[in-house]
Amino acid sequence: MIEIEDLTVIYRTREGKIRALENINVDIKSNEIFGIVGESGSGKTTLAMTIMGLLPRNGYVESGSIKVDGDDILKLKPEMARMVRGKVISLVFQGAMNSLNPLLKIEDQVAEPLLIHRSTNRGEALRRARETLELMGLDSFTWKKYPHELSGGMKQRAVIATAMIMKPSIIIADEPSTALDVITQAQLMNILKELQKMARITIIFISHDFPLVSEMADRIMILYGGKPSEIGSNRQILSEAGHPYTKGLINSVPMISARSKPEAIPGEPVNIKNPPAGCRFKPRCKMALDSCGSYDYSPKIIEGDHMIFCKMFEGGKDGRST
Amino acid sequence: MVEALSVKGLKKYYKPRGRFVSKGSFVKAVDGVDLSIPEASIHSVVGETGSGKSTIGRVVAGLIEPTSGEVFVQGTDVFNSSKKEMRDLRKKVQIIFQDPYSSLNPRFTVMRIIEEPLKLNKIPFKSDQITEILRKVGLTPPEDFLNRYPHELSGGQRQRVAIARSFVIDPTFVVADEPVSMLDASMRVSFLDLIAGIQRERKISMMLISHDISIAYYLSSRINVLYLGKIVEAGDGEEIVNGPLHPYTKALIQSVPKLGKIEKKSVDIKGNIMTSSSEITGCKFRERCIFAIDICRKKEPELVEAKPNRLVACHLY
Amino acid sequence: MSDEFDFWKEFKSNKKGMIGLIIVLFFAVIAIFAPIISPYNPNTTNPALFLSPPSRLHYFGTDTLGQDLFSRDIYGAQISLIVGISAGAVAIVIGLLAGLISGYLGGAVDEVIMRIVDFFIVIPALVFMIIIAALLGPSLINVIMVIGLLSWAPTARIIRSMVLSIREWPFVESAKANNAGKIYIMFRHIFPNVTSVLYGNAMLAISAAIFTQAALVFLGVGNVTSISWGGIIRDAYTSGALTAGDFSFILPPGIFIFVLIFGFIMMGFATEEIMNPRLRTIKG
Repeated sequence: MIEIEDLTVIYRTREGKIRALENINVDIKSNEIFGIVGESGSGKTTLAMTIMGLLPRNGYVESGSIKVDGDDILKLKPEMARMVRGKVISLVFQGAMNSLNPLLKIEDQVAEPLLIHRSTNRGEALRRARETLELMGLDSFTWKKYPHELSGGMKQRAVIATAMIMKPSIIIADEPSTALDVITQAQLMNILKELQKMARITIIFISHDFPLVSEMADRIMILYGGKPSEIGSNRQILSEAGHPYTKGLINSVPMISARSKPEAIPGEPVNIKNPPAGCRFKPRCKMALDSCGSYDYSPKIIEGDHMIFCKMFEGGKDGRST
Repeated sequence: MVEALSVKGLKKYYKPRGRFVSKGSFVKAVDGVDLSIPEASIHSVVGETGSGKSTIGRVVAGLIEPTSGEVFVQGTDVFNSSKKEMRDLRKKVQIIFQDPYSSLNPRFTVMRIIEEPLKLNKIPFKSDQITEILRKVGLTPPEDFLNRYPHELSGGQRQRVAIARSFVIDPTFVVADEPVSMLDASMRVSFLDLIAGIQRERKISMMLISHDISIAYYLSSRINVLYLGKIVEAGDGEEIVNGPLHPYTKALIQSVPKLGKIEKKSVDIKGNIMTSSSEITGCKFRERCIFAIDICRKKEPELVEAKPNRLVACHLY
Repeated sequence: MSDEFDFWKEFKSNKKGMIGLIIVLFFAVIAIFAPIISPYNPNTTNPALFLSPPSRLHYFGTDTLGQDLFSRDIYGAQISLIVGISAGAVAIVIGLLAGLISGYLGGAVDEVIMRIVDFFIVIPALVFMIIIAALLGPSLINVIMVIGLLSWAPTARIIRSMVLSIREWPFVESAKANNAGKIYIMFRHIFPNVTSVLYGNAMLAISAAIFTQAALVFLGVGNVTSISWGGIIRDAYTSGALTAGDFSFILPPGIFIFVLIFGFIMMGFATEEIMNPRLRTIKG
């Protein structure tokens, strides 16, 4: 579905070049919820923006490819790339739940992407908007309503209907629940899951909240300082975690109802303007060895596609490193 | 013994702005809340956006005046005291704000931000007091941070500065308003440990405000659940989390993300906080409640002691 | 302060800003060194040279009194800059104070100040200035005060709206919770956060004041005794230079006014562009 190969993305800033993402290799399969976990500075939003072709002006792809159904969207002509993205990928971004235009009726908001892409006339666009709203569980009485007349849950469904109107096969949800209350967040997660099953789409779910991603995702990639730490299935990440950072994330969850005391990951997220040499997690890692300073991120592959990017695992019997 | 905080019958009503609002209608942000926090302990107020939890925090800190009710912080009546008593009280009360971006003046250096409470309260201090508190909150070496501006720091570092500012004058009562909700989830525990560590060491009394009951559970001994300006359940944190009584508390606990994949999260609640209004008769939660019965429409439930040391406002009990 | 350092760095790479700055500096140099640059005493009359055309001796010719126009145009820069900058400063200081007080104190004080602002925004300022200038007499100080007092209102409005949002920020609440007084909060916390709009506004206020001063002199209510571009245009107009096609009399001062105003406006735009809050951090 989406094959990302050796992707490196750079921002030019006054202080010099920032390597926001480095050598990312990952395949995202059809009909899965693929979770990306990372703190600020991990490159998770940069990855979403690169796939969507929405990098800020000072950002560029230095190397690598992003193949969507076999076509490298980084190599296509801009118009072609835009078309592929418009048809195949939609974005539900941070704060999208508050992004409905208060002056537009729900059906008009949902129809808007169709009219922007000029793929159809207004009547047809409205027809499809209503179809999509119905699919999202919003029946005819909501179609002509304005956002303030709807409940929060209905608005969430409307926002997702807007993302679904182009019939994408992939939805990228970048921190969709940040700034939402926990109950609203849980309701939104249920809507997304329902949608994924019903419409058989791929969801790339991006968040800093590890437990939240673990509830959603079939497979998980953990990013740290622009580099991968661990990639694997939900079960592999949760029960067979190898990377000290992954373990740290698991242990730092304040568990409710079990009085096992969570343990904080020491230190601050890496400053990507000035990352440490070798493994970027080294300064915060309890297990760090001197040799971690020269780690080259060659992964250890365990059991299928479970990959760990850690010096401790390097050179093991399954490792493909030197 | 004097309690650290005693709030009785606290109400804060706002007049809605706008021309088409009927006379005499009010937004009841806080509608009759009683709270008491003993010395040297942390109690929390938990609720969604719009529950009135931040309003309570700002009233307790003396930043806004209540419509009615009384607030005593360490024996001082916050709204009926002389100017001098209030000045003295402010030396003892501090707030930690949610947003590390807007709670620090972008034109101030870290040093100026942290010195400010000392200078404003005319407390003599030495410069090693500043470096010591920076070290305490984990900004080391302090010399590297003193002359920096907030925009040169990460979100986590800014919140450390905000925490340092709150603790530099040795407060005895602290209102922590969502102190970790803007931070990366992976950083939250370390901040909660930092706050709890200083609290225990100095025996500070604290009111924690949070929308996330897992944070409240982690940090506080007693939890007060607030819904539309009223406390609907209150009790020991452990007991509430392991045996919630009010349907709203149950939904809050169910909603907390836990480790492990799930097919569908059961959240036994309808709509959102906007669904209900403080105008409706009977129980204000009934339109979202899946257990609502006939009486819920007619009569508003009172906060009663359902079991020892546990208060709940629900007709089911 | 690191912010100021950044500002100059950005300003240098801003084309509009640099064009504006070069223009303004050019006129500043002319104004300061007018006695050295100008070939004649601008006030020396010579009846023999009545309205003489441009020549190698008198680049822009002479006026009805036989005064050298080139020298007078050079000296004219002084008044334009003095009045422009002083009146602009008066307007900005009053606007800033009114905006701060009105926005932060709110309530009745705010009501009163905003009604005054409304008054100054709706009245036809030029007419009002003519009346006041005529009543007070046309001294330089009076002209500066009249222009300044009549052009602070827009600044007050912008500052007030900024103050209204900044005063709700938690860092202000934190200071309040620490016994900070109103004056302290206004000047220590809020003021440094509104200066960003002040610089741009000041440039625009100066350019407006330069134009107003010229207009007042042209209409005969300004300080007609000292040399100014508006005065030269007035002399040209009354002598019939316009109908006689004597462009070297009327065009240079007009062009100078236009270019100097343009310079300040460009600097103002550049300042606003740079000061606009940008995203300094990279997310994700």
